[in-house]
Amino acid sequence: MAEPTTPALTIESVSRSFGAVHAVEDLSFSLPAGGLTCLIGPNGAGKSTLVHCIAGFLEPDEGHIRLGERDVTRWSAHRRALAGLGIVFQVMRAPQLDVLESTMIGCHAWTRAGFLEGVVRPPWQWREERRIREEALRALELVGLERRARDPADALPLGHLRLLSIARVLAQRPQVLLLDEPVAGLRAAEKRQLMHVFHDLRQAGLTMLLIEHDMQFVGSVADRVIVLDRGKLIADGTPAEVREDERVIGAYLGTAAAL
Amino acid sequence: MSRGGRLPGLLRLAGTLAAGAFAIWLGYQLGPGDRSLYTLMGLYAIVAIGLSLLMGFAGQISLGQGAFYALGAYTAGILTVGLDPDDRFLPEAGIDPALAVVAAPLLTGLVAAVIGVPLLRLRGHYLAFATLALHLILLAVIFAQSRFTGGQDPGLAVIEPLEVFGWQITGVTGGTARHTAIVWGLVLVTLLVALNLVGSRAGRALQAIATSERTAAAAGVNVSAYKLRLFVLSASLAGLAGALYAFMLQFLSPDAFGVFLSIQFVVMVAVGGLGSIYGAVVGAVAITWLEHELRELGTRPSLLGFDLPDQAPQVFSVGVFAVILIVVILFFPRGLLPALGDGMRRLRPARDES
Ligand SMILES: Nc1ncnc2c1ncn2[C@@H]1O[C@H](COP(=O)(O)OP(=O)(O)OP(=O)(O)O)[C@@H](O)[C@H]1O
Ligand SMILES: [Mg+2]
Repeated sequence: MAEPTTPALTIESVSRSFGAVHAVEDLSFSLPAGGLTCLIGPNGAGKSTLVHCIAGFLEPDEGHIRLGERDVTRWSAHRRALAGLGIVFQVMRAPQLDVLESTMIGCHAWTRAGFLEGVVRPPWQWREERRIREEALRALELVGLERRARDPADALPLGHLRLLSIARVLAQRPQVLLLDEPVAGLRAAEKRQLMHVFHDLRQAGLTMLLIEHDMQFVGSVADRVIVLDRGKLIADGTPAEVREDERVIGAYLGTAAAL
Repeated sequence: MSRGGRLPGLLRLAGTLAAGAFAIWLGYQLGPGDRSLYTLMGLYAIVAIGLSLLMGFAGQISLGQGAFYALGAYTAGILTVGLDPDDRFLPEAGIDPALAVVAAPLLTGLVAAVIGVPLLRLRGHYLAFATLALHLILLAVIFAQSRFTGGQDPGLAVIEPLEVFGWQITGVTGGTARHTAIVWGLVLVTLLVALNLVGSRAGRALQAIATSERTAAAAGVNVSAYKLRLFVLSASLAGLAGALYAFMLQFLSPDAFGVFLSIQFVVMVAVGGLGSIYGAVVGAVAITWLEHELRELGTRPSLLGFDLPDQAPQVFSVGVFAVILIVVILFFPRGLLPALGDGMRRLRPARDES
């Protein structure tokens, strides 16, 4: 047997409530390095809350979050990003930049030119800037947005804006990637494109946690599915196993969402 | 911002340098009266560029730039005449004015770094009000510590001329042409610094912050540190301009640094266009000129048959700037200059394609 390796992400008894609402309640699971796990559950199940706790935008009331071996529970969001965590939010606003420059923001995590270098521009700054541009272009090609590189980002339709936020997070070169409904509102062709992107990323060894409602999409990309209902984990298994699970069916019937 | 009329970088740089050379040359061509107004335009342009970075690129509104300008002026003035009010009649009581001009922006930046930590936790209107309060507090201190600052009466006379390597730069009322040229040279340098910053990794991070602090942090940007650094930079620029102002008039009084000044800086940036560094310079020149004209108008004994009261200059300025600000915010949210550019661009393709 292989020696036990450290999971890429560990959630340890994490709880978070908003007033009387227990959005996430005593939740524990871990993601081994590599692979795509889908997080599903009815509306208000606590999926976004969990992802925000992992990324550092919400503080858990209790519990611990580990990135590899590091306990990052008290870390700020940007420090987690520098440590290899990427996140795509459910809603995103476009900056007043063009698509390429917006994607280049993603490269912030692995580059280092600061205010002074930006002003003085030593030769290494130019080289770094070229690497940033190349990486951003590559990320745009991956999601199929390279033709819009020079368009203003705030003029993009919603679907393309999603693709842009995915390109940006790819330019960040994360080890663990959290995606909150990245394909919601996308057209079938765009969904298919992203399916390929996620497939390639999985091959490349990235660890992904993806929130999605569309079970067909989940079935085609996920290695593993974790189901949340009212803040609690109610199922954890392969897509086929989860689809048969009675508690899952019950939870979804309760909200009248079709599986 | 690199959107829109995308001139090749080198061409744009050449154009900027040429415009800067012209601005410096103009300093030598003007008579003493026009020259002091022109110098003031340059000083305000330096402040406006800093504020434009803060407002237009990082989305942080400061109504306290006038306070940093005043702080720079008083720092330079007091360092030059001597810290101890009882020693000020002695020669050698203060430091070399040239050193004071260097020390003023450093101290102003330091103050901004200290107060910026709690202040920048505030957002939007709260930050605007807090920085405005900062300006009021500074004015109160200048009045209260009149032993050091001279207060309103007698004010602070900074008669020591500014000299660099034996070159006299100020010491003549209204400043010398050399002073004007140096000020506009600094405008050019500030402009290049700001343009470089905006187009760099740090500049992109700042623009990410302006859109969404959450998204910026998710990309690994240390949001509070970046905001603080930019706040310090913009405060230092205001401090530098203030220090150069101290030697232009050779006299400091809180009257020159009213709260209205801070509002004026915001109007300059809004008129020039949020997110346009060049616009900040144009806005500074236009608003400074307008303010000057309005004051001339207001100090007339009568206008259109009406006797004008003593407060007329201030009332005119406040009224006109309030209207400008409202019109810009309502109809040209991106600023007057970018709106003008859009209008021209709309005209041009029609001709090109025919
Ligand atoms: N900032 C907040 N303040 C108060 N309550 C909140 C907040 N954020 C989430 N909640 C509540 O916590 C619960 C979980 O919300 P969450 O957004 O995590 O659900 P979700 O699973 O992402 O739902 P959806 O599928 O609709 O995106 C809901 O009852 C929600 O109303
Ligand atoms: Mg959600």
